[in-house]
Amino acid sequence: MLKVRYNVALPESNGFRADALMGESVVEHKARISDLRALNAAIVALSKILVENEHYAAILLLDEPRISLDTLSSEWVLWELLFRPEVLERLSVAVFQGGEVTTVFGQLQAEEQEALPLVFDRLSNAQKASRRGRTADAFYDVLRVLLVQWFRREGPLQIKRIEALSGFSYPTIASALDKLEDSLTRHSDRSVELKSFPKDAWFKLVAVNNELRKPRAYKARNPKSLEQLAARLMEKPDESVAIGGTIGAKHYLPGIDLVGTPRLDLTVHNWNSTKIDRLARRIDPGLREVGLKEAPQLVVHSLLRKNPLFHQSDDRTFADEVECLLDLQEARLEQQALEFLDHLKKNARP
Amino acid sequence: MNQIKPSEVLKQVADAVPESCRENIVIIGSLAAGYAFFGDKQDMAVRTKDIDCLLKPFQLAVERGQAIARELYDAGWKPKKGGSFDEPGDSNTGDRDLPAVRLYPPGMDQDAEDAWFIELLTEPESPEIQERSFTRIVIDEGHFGLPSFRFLAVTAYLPEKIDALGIYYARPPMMALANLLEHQEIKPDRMSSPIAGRAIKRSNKDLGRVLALAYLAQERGLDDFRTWGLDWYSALERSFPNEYQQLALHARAGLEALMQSDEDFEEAYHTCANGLLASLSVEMEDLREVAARIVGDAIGQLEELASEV
Repeated sequence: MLKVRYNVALPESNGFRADALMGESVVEHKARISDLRALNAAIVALSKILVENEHYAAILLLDEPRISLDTLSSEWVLWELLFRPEVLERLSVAVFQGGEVTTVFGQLQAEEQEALPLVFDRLSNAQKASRRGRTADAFYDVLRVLLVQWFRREGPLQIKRIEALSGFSYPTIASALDKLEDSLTRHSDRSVELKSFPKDAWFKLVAVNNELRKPRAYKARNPKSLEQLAARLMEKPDESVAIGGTIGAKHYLPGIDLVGTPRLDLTVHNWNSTKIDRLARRIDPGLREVGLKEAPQLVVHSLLRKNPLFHQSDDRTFADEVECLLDLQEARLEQQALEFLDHLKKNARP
Repeated sequence: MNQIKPSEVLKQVADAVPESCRENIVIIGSLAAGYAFFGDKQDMAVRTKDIDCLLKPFQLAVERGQAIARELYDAGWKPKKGGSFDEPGDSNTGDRDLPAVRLYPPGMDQDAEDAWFIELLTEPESPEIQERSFTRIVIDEGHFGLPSFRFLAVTAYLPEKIDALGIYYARPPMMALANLLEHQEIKPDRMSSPIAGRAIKRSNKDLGRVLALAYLAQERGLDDFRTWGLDWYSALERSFPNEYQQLALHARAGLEALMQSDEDFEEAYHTCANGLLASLSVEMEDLREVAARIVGDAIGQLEELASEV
């Protein structure tokens, strides 16, 4: 097995920092690249290393690229014309979709092929963790964790526990808590809890719903019923998929007034878009992706925090109360969202 | 094209054939589809001109074919005229050159808008026969052939009986499967007769039929095409005991090719919109959706079962 090092500075190349060095192969990881200029810049940077260092090879890992394979093929043909053969023969591009290599341009050695999936996983996860680390997301993740804790009357949370649930570091959490100061009770043991519903923060959360939860919506022209969609989902239970929306709200508040449940809301924990699309096709191959305003029949939300706080009941997994409430608001079920929120707030009061 | 009422035509056919032969007749094609989906609606008509009667089992096909042809000729049914293969053959005629038995009901004007004829076919003698074949039958009028195609066998798998008439009709999922198996790629040959003014590739017409059958099944309440996959698996296992797995794993190829070609898919849509689905407001995207469900659910289920063996 090739020796792999990560985040390696290459002194002989002006300190270029490789995402990984796999044997003598410099690996550069690019996630969801959508811009040809950025793609060409990455290729040129790698080629420069190859020109300067004859012992290196270079592999560009494209993680869920937004550029079509046809376009990538055309670009590769262009690079074949542009680069000298002795450079080109050491350059390759590996395209990953759904966590697997789907296309390789150029030649990979057998050892590289063997090691590449592990390297990809590590780099891809690091990328996701870095995305999760954004302060903006951290605030909303901490808020959601506190809300769930409050709604469930599970008492104050130590910062350590918030770290474990959210996956964020102490300073990031402390900064998020500072912004929620007015709604917090801080205890002498340095644990915290909400003392009231943080209305302003909630409205901010609702406003960033799309960026935060990245809903993917699906619709069929000849739709199946919500029950049919849910039944198909339940045929292959997956602990990283939870039911939210109206079904979830009904789980937490059986008496909620939900006449004519319009869509199936799901929350998935740490999934990429390819995996989500695959789930939608399994539930109903006739579903196609649409915008949220097109009255979708299935909406899948992403949850990236460390602990999804899903709730198991019988054979079913439900998204937490906050996700369900956000689902109702997203679906414009204002009255039901209000009824559900009132119930949750009443339940939260000591 | 001709508009005929399935119930009326089936009754006319059943009444005309000898009672002893009815058990051996399975109606396939447009009329069977029309009866399956619109049989209970007196005002619904089907656009077709040929009433395909499959004789089964193969071992009885010659005897039954001769008896049916004799009875129909004696009752005044008239042979179809005008085509290159319409004249009866004789003992010197090769099997592949034999005309099929194609007969119009007595008194029917062959040029009329609503004219129709029956055609006799049979299932293949054995699952190993890959090519189109003809089984000779001899009556006083001359020598004829009962055509059979390799995948006709599945259309005769567990057909539905029309109790009041004593004959059978092929179930829509089985006709769909036969078409999927027959067209594992989009072949270039086109239909000799235009469909609504256009010369359509036969593969597109037949794969379009798969979509029309599935769409109608969905309209009639089918909400899970995986049931088709289960049914298909049983039919394949029974009809092709030595290669059912292989066939199951190739069933998706033609339909996927159709879905990937806008031009071919549009031809398939054209045949549906001017055929089985003419009375419904169906758009091309409706057929794309049903195609996705056939591939994902029906064929997915079939492949899953075939892969488990």
